[in-house]
Amino acid sequence: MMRLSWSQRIGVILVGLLVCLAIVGPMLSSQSPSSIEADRLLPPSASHWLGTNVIGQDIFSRLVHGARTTLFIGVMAAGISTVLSVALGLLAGYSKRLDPILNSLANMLLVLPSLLLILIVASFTGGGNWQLILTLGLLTWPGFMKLIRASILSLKEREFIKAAQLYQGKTGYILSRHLLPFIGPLVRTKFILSFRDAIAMEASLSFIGIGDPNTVSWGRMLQDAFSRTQTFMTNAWLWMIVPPAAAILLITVALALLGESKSTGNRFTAKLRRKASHAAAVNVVGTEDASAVIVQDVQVMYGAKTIVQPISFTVKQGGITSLVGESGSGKTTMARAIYGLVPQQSVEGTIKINGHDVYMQDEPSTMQRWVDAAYIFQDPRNSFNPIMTIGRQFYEAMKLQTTMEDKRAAAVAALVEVQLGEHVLTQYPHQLSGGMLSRALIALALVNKPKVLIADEPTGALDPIVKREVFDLLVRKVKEHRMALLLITHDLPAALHISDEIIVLQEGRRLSNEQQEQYLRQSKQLYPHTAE
Amino acid sequence: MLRSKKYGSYLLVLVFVVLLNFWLPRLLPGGPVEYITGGGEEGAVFLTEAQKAAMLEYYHLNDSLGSQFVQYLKGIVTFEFGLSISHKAPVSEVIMDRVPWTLLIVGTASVLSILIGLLAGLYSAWRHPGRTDRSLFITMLGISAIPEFLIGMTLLIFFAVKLHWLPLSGAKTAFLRSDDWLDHLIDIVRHAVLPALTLTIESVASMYLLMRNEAVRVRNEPYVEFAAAKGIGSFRIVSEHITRNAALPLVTLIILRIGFLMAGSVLVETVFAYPGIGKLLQEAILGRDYPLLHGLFLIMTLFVLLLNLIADLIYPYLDPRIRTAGRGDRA
Repeated sequence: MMRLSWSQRIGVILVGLLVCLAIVGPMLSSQSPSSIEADRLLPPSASHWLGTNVIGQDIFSRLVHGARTTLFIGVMAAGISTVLSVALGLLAGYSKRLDPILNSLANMLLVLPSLLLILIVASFTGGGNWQLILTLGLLTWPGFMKLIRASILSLKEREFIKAAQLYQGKTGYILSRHLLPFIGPLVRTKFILSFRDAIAMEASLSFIGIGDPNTVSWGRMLQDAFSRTQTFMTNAWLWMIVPPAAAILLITVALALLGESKSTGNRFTAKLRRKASHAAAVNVVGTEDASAVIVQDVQVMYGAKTIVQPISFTVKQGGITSLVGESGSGKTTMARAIYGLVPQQSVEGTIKINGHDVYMQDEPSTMQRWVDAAYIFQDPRNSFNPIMTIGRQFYEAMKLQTTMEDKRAAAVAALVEVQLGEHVLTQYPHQLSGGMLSRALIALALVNKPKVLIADEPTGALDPIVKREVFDLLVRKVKEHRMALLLITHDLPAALHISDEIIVLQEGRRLSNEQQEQYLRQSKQLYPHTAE
Repeated sequence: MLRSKKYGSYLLVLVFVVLLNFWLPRLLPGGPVEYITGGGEEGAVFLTEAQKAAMLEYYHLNDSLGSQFVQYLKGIVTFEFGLSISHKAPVSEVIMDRVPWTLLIVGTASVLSILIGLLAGLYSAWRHPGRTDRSLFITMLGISAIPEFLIGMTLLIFFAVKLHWLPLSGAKTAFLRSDDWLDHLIDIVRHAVLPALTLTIESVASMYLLMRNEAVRVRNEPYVEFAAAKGIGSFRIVSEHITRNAALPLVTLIILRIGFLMAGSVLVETVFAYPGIGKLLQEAILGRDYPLLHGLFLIMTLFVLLLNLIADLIYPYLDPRIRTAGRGDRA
């Protein structure tokens, strides 16, 4: 079973209590909910636990019988709606012929707010509980039907379904055996939310006055109480309005808490609380040590899991160091940790860039991002904000220039260095090719003339020919500007070709010298043509 | 191509509502004749024999279904739904009298809830993950689940019944004796506060949930981390990068929420006896005033469709990926 958050536990308890009330309550109360035996508007007492209403009916009895009505309507309507969502979603996702019809029907029903649609139908059908259940059940399926359809459409492309089809599995068998288990969580959420909506809708419709005046439900009790002025002349609202209102409030909130879908996992990122970088006036730190990047006994934890085991190394000024390893070896985490992109509490040890501590206790780091060092991400297409022009994304990072003209001139100069024209500044990322975006990214990394560049698989997302070009450009620029480069890559031949030093990571651990020798020798056998 | 398909589905919805309006009361056991003549134990409205006969004649309920339908369609095209049974006045006039009041509270609630909801959602995403975000999220989730009329009722009991700060019901004091226009204005505002506040609270919660979830998603996008890596301050990251990217896919949903608000006004106006079209709809349902119902449902549907259309029309101007590229395929 899945683990529940504390808010979901509260939801379970509240729903459980109200269900108990609906089951046990009517047995406890001796009065019938509709009999008129007592005096009107009696306050709560031993014989009438919650008093009586305007015409002398026992409110406790009405409350517990109302619980049955309300929960019954909720469960039935949610059941019908859920079954329809699942059945039609599976059908539409699975059958190419039925899909257009079902999908456009769902779209049509989704255009109108469901309350309006239900009002139209309910006001003409009027009537009893079953009419209400059918109306609610038949009109509220489209939202989740579309979600289920979408997930079926993507599941259908997966291998195991294709294999089942290949072996001529019957459609019904594939649907129930292979696809249903995957949409389980979706179905559970749908049922709980429909349950909640049905209860709220029933209460709302009863409150407006739609429905059978003889049934007892919470919404009906509120309507009874609210439509008479006597309720508010005295304190009678305390026992006439508060109990059913509280009941509706509790059940809807409880179901909302229960139905909260699991939030998607947060990425392992530092908090968004940083001041903007600025160009430091004096930059004389680092004289005591010639290293651009110092990593000393650094360990990175994610929760209880250690991603990078204690490691130490340095990158010399103007030198090129490559961090090599398979995917999952912790090299990207290492690079992000060096630049200060992971939460402070998960890093132990000392990291210095240009003499500035990247992680400092209780105060922001003095390392100025993009001024002291720059960081290039794996995929240029994901690095640029898709709805902002390249120009604005340059200007906001530029700290050396103050006026707009200077910024523009400097940005153009940086673009020229990577063989891109001025017009790129006014374009959006989707208008440029992957290779052009990579070049623009390199230009962007140069604008503040940082001493250190960290590049995480800078060419990983490019096709082989462009890859070579961009890689050579990057190395050339780094050498021209005498920057220190920390390159993260799994491309060992390229790393061997350009690096002053190579560090191999395996499962978060740096290989010892002998291990590394052996690793490199094996790789050279794999790629003999690069051995130089 | 895609867009014309969308417009087609709006047209279908309109046709669907028009058909539903006409056929639903006629296909159900009993139908309008029964409703009008039957009365009996259900009879909420008392009618004399002469009235019944006049009504049957007036609504052509003795004609064939075919000619009734033609009559009905003609009425829709010309916006002539005939006379309202309970108001004894043309339906279009009755509705137009009430529209401004609904626009006042729905409009106010829309503006306020969009502003507050979006800001709160952004704030929450900024503090995500964390305790502030979590408690704000749970609170809003709870509020969004509560039916509108319960919120309205609670506000009414506290501010009008117990504290006497604000009027109980209506949109203005009848026969307010003052020549000063300011007094009239204050009077109207005082009456509108609670209904508008109720709608706002409900809608803030749903706007917040939309914005927060979208902003949290955007906050985890690589380009936001890249912006942080570029040394941009957190305020500018939120205001320039997260807000715009999160709000963009929400534009359509937000505009459609205004349609939800209008549907919700039926409940809220009933609680506060506020004389807008929502209250009118409730009266028409209870009084079985079919011509008025037809008119109201059609107007509300048209309003919602209009909102859909507006959303579709402005979206391309906001998204450069659609505006500039002819291919318009989103990565």
